[in-house]
Amino acid sequence: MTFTPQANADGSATMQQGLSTVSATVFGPREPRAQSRGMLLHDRAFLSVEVGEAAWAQQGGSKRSRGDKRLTEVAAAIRDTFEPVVMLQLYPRTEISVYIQVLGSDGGILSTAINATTLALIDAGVAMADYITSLSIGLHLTQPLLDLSGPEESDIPHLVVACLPATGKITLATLETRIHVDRFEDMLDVGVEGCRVLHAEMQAEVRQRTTTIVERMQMGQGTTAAVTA
Amino acid sequence: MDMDANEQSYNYAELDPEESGSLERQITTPGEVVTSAKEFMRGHGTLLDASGENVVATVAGTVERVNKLVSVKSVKSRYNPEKGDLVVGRITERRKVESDALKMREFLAEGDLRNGQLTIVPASLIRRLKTHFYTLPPPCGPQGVDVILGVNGYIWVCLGSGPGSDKERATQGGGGGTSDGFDNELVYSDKNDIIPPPSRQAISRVCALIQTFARYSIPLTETLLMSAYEWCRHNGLEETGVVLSRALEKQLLEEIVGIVDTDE
Repeated sequence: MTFTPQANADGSATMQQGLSTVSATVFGPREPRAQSRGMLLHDRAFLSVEVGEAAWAQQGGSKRSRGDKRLTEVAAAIRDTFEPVVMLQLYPRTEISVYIQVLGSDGGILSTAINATTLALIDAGVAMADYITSLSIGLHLTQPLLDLSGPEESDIPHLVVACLPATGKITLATLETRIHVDRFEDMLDVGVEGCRVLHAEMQAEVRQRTTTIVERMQMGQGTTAAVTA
Repeated sequence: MDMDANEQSYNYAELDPEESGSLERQITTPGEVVTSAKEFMRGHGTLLDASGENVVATVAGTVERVNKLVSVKSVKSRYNPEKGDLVVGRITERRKVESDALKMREFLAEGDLRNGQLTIVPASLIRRLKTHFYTLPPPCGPQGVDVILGVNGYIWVCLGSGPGSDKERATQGGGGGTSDGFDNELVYSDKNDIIPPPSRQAISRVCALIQTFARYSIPLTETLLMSAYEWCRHNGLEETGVVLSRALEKQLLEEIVGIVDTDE
């Protein structure tokens, strides 16, 4: 989990979960670009999310282009996840763009991307009601498993959960395979628990970074007098 | 203000309505409860949670309070314009409605900044000060270097107009004031003077220094820039390239700003 300062972006972060690495870059709130001006909303901002995947991200080198259906789905899921949490009404007539690059793909791309986006939005200073943290949960026989890798993900039924850790509200739960309804609740509980742990980690990282910046801002101020003396 | 161990710790203490001001450097991140005391009004960067009892932060930053108003100031955010701000503008698009264009021309003209280069930093690194026009005097290039710090994070670095310059130019008309009292021809001229190589070197060195400080979130001031430039001269870096190596950068930050731990 790192904040990766990118020169022109308002905020950016890279998240690594297992062998999956995803970087998220946030621009905005800004005036909508010419191509997305039609989406402008008069009373709030709109989120635009684009997901790309690096050519080397996947084993076997099968390249997915930007228009790939799976990536578009990920983008839509991220947009829907963040829309209720980001305080869009504070930034009317603007666009907040999130660009996501999958740098290494080994399962759990959606949840890694959601976590990276949370950090990047916080880094950009965009107001949010809470963090959103996300994890994938698999099911082996009756045992729920957290944070699946690529091979695991393709073999066992799994669920992706994103939640607001403070209230435990779930903003996203997607299931691509069928599971027994009795198992669902267990998986969800484990997932929310995992999201809380993740939240603590992310919070510590954000705090540390914020503290550093606050210190730096004061440092420059305090030392100028000393330097001239 | 000094940061002592207490203030840096992660332990979170709720705001005490009786105590005022002492916790102004408290750091919070989104979703954290800032206070549950009823007597506070909530300001920017805060939100009332679902239960309606707690004031919750929505951005990562410092908690600030003025009397009963509690707000959270983000450490990094987009530029929020205020009246009286000096900004450096860049034309990205022209709207071709005739009346608009004419009205703008009353106040501004294209190409009124010249003889230099633009460099952009996060807007939070530039404070609102009494003056945003600096002149770094002649050891910094044969004619000195002028710096215009726009509060929006745009910085114009250009050839100095101090006593060493060969043209008597109107100095402070660049940003956006009305042009009364200045020589319009010169202020709004878009012709560059011929700039000798040493001056060019000085201008680009100042830009490189500004970017270095920006990377480490150090707010810019005149004295900081001057002492950094002096430091470069002192260390015999005048003839080398303007971009500092990692080691030199570390040394600069340590000696000028006092930051030791720069591993990010």
